[in-house]
Amino acid sequence: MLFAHLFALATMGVGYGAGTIVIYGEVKNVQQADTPNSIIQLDPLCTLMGDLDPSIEDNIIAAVTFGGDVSRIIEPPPVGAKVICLLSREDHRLSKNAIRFRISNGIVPYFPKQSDGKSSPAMFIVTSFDDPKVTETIENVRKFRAKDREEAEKKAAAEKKP
Amino acid sequence: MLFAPLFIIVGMGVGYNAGTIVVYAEVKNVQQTEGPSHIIKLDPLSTLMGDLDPSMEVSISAAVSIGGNVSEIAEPPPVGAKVICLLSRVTSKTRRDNIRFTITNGVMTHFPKQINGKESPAMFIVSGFDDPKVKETIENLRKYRAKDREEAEQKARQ
Repeated sequence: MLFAHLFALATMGVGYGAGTIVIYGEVKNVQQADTPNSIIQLDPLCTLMGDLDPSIEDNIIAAVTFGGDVSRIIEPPPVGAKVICLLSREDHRLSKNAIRFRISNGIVPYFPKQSDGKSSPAMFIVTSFDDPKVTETIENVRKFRAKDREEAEKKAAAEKKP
Repeated sequence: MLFAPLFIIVGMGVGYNAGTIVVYAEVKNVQQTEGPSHIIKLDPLSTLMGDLDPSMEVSISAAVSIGGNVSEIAEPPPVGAKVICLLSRVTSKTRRDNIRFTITNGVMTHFPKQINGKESPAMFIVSGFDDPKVKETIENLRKYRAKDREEAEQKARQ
């Protein structure tokens, strides 16, 4: 129980790093591995942040933990649900199986707050792309990456100079 | 007038290469520059294909030719419309202005056919992300890139 809470605290406040991706996807399958660990299969319909090309990586298999004791993601989403999901790319050299992604069990500060007012988990259900939470996520991730954007623009301007 | 059909032929059947991107976007502005030449400003809400991060490139200005004589894009989309759009990235070295993208005037064979049965232009209006044409585009793009996907999977296994 203590480990569970420590584990949750350790992964709180997930930031941006290379290999961090936000997608709008459809849940294709959820399979429990060993409690509370599960494997989720997602169809990434489109990318909202990061370097995932959904026409190439069209089937995402990610490791995820569910359950209030160990994860902010309380329960698995039903098959067919549309979700916003923050994925972290795993180094395939470190992974012996087909799992190439991981979903954090912590809080994602730039995801919209859930209806219970608590900070958001790294995966949450939306009704569709028109759900206001999708627009809020897009706005939030853009604010979150404002500094990265500024740096990229400076770099591009410097490269342009003769 | 002779140049117009030649221009269309040159732009037809655009294939995939690095710098080719498909986005689901909202039209923010359309400005006519000269004759059929326009600059369109898009808010790329999400990426369906290619290497564009919509949290980094939040506003896209693209050069596009509009008008039946020179382009498969017959008329400019209204501001606020949601569109599916194929963009080609241009290097800053090849253009003096701030335009980093172009939209081809040709036919897109991997975009869904239009209501009149004709092949699609590189930009077309959709009602929203739930429009069946969005799903069809996603499916077509995945079929179209099956070989690239195979190669990427082989590379990942190595």
